[in-house]
Amino acid sequence: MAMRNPYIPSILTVAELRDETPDVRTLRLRMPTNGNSVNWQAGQFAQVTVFGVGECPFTFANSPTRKSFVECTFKLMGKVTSALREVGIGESVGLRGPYGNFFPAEDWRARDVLFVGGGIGMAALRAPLQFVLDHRNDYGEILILNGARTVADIVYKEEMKEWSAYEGVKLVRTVDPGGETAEWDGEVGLVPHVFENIAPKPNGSIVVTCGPPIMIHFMLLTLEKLGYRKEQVVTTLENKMKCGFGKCGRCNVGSVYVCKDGPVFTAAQLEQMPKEF
Amino acid sequence: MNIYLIQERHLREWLADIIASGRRVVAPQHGDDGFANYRDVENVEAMMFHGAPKPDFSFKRLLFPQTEQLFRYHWDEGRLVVEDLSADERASAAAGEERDKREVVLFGAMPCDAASRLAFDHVFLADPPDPFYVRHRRNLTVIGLGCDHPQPECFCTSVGLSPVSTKGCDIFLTPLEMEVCNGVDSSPGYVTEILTKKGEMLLKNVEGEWIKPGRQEQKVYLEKLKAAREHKMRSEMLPRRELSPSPEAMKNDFENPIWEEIARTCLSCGVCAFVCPTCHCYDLTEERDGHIWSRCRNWDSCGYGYFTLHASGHNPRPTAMERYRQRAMHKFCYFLEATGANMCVGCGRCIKFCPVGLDIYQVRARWQ
Amino acid sequence: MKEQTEQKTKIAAFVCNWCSYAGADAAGTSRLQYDDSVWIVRFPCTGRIDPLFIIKAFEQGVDGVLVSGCHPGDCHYATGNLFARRRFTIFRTLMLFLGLDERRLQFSWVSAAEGAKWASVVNTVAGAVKELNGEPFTWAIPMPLRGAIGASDGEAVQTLRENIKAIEQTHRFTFGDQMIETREAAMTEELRLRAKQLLEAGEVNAVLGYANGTLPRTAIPLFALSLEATDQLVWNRHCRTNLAVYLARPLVRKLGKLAVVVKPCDAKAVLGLLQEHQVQRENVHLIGMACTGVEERGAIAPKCLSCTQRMPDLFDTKIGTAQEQPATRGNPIDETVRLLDNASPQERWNFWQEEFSRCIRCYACRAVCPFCYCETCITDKHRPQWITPSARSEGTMAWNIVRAAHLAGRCVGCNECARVCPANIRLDLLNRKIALEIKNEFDYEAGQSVESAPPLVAYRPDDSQEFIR
Repeated sequence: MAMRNPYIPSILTVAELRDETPDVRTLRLRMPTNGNSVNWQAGQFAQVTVFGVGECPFTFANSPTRKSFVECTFKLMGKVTSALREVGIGESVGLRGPYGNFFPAEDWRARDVLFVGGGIGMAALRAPLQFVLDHRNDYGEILILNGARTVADIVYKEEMKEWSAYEGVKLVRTVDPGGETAEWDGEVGLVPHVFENIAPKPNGSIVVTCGPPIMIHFMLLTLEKLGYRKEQVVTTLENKMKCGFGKCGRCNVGSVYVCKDGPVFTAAQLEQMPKEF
Repeated sequence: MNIYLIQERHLREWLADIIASGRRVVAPQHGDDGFANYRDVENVEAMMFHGAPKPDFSFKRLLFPQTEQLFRYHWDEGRLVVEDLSADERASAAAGEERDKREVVLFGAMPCDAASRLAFDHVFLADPPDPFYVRHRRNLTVIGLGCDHPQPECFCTSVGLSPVSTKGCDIFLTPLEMEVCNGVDSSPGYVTEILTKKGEMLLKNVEGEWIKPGRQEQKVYLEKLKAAREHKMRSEMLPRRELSPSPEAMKNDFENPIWEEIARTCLSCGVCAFVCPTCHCYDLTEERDGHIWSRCRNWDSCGYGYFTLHASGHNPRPTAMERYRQRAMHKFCYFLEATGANMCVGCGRCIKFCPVGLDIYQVRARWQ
Repeated sequence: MKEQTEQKTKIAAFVCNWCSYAGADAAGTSRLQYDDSVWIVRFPCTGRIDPLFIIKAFEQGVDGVLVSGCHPGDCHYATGNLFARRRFTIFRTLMLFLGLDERRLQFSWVSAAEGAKWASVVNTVAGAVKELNGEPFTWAIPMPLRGAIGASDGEAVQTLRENIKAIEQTHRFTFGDQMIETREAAMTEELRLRAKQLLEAGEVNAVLGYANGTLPRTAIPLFALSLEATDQLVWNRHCRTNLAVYLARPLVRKLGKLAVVVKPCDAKAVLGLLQEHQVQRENVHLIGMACTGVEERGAIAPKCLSCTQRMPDLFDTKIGTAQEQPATRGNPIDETVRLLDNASPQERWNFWQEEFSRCIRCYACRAVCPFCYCETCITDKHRPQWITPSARSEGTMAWNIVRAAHLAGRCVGCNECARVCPANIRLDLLNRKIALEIKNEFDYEAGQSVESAPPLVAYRPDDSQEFIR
């Protein structure tokens, strides 16, 4: 019996691309033509291949409720992302996955959901956010707190307007001090500080947060101060990964494999893990 | 379990037949360079049986080659063509390892090395199973040989194994003392335990009087013999205690500054991982040969700084301290939690080959 | 017209933009005919041509490489070609020592006006390379050799190996001196005492020395941070590790001022690190040991047989008294280098391919080398990926060549790389060959003086250039 080779990616073509910021781009990928469409849940990730260059993990940036295509938002960083920027419309990339666990969005029903994202971290929040918006009536109030270093670094600028147009959605945007422009009408301040000023009541709500490690660190402290239980706070971890399914041995944090047991963790789970991420 | 008594000269005949049938026989042998390794046997008559040297490297590359092509691709007039290399033997052929296409009979595997297969099974057969590993595993039959020359670095008895452990073997041989064989044959004999179906198949086609079917008293005798052997070997090993099966104490000391003290001398090379029979971490890389690209799997080591280095420059394990801690904890805590066994077979090669003599047994034994 | 077939011979010509490229251009505009097997690659200056480029060209299957630039004195950047000349002197020596046929790697100076010379150089080089056609030349290590399992020892170099073994045998000496243990014990006592004084006086925060290893006849590095820990310090013939390797490491730098136990060869490495500004003199206190050599595999280490230095050149504290120099017991490393020098290029090539075929790419050679302190090693760089990471032959060749080349003029011959190699590759021979050439060509020995410029970042206008056309 032929065994599947789990390392071989499906081939997807780039249908659209959109520059979010000077160094962040979103690709919209057309499903493989050979019929094997990709099925994923919000929070899962995939290994994306730039043929002739290499492979790199990306979170699915769109919700499975909008699954006629796959979207991935990436920041120009290393070898693969640099090459991915060179991939044009109509060209192919490889994709294998989905891997990892996902946001338990079903369990959040009837609760308020607070999305707190910094920088490229918004990419990981976009899928669960879309999911929640697509089931708008199932959830309570929605807060979107988006931080960026400067105005130029804000991702999903246009979409953010659409999101805030939904009923019961509050959008707060902030940039780090010094990153504002004359026209800037949002907040100025670090994400945890802005959150502390808003100080939403923790009553049963869910906080989904993703961003640079330093932001997460202070965000968790702020949440604790405001009385959030650690079980209410969900985040995603990103580690260097190669295989995506628990064999190559580099993404583990203690005995937890981010690729298999993660990437989605509650703050309560993170607390149990060694501080090595 | 079937037990036979086989004379050495018959074993040699049998191995010669295996080679003649086109299969590879690999066994611990000295090379011309003077160093011991698992090497292809060409001349069965000249190979060492009893008292063969402990190989410098384990045989893990038979199951997990240092470099393996996983798939290949090229552009054919702009169209991307991907070629799966798991479906057949082409992967080995492409990597030039012609001989890997054949079945391999590993003769005289050290009990420690043989036991390492269990760790590999755990990783590579877990969902999704690795088709390359599955193939190498299918092609490999392991004939273990009771170890009779423990080295100063050995500590198999500390990790629940022993010089007569049969774990991971398809067939296991225990040499008989000469006097026992007197009256039977002039060449030394081996008590031969058939442990798996595969082992049985390998012996199945062997016919002739030289295989004496096992009898109950022989079984009893074998147990006694093995126990005596184990006792003798243990007494010859450097005094190293048995490690407690509970890793909790070590795990709870994750933040203990002792790790910095332990790892201060670690130079972050990859020797320990590469000579380790159980280390299996790997890297995936893109390689090109003319106009054909391939995705390759290569051995990697958690000791290297770039192992966990993010493209952003962030590194969760920035210094030798975090990296050595990961190595120790992976072996004695994380893997144990997941499987119930240490990811260490006590072969001690990492101690012997460490440029600065870091002793993983001593590290683990701190939390005894 | 006749159907064209693919060209058989390929020669990569690495030329500088200002002279040789212009020279080639001049040849073209003068309608001079020259061999069409040459593929020209243009560089700003020969000084920009890294040996890696040449390695890469061979990897890609060229039959020969020609490097050509401005005549000395004509460099557009004044001295680029003079530095390059030294680099190529050494790189060429290394490649020839590996057994590359000298016709495959050639050098020339061709000025912008010398179109005719360009044509003639190319024709000569191409002619020489074509002479070699049909001779087996595979840059890649032949497959059956690869990997420790299944590696059969090549028959091609059987005799060479036997002769090397014979050299080893005749130079196998054990420490016969009955006094050695007494002396070691006395020096150990003296060392512990001194270490305590240094720590107590607050002169250093730690003493880096040796402790007994857990295996018999081994000593391992020890950082003694406390007075009690100094009691673990030992001094004996098993103190092999060159502790200079630690001086530039982050976990060690954190400790602040350090006292380091050094043998004469280790002190040379410290000196080299001072010379290369990796260590500050005031941050190390050197405890120089009177050395009578270390033991490897039960015998006096080969490197120690020819060493006559009994005290380090550089120390702040001295332990023990220099022993009388024993009559030299030969120099097995140099003898082996000579043996290889006298072998045919083909034999050398086969020998080194066999050696490298055992490489498992663990980089222990790099890890133990005091001079491999680069924050990111060339092998870890992947944009572009100069050195193939897999254990495929090209990458393994490239790594072993580049490692040796990068140490040219810096290696002090502590031979730690060869000692720790789990595959027993004779890296010491490569290092030594280069050191001998550097001594011969530039009259320079590594680890002798802090002030002198390392030979490959220096030049003399009259450096020899007999190998350059």
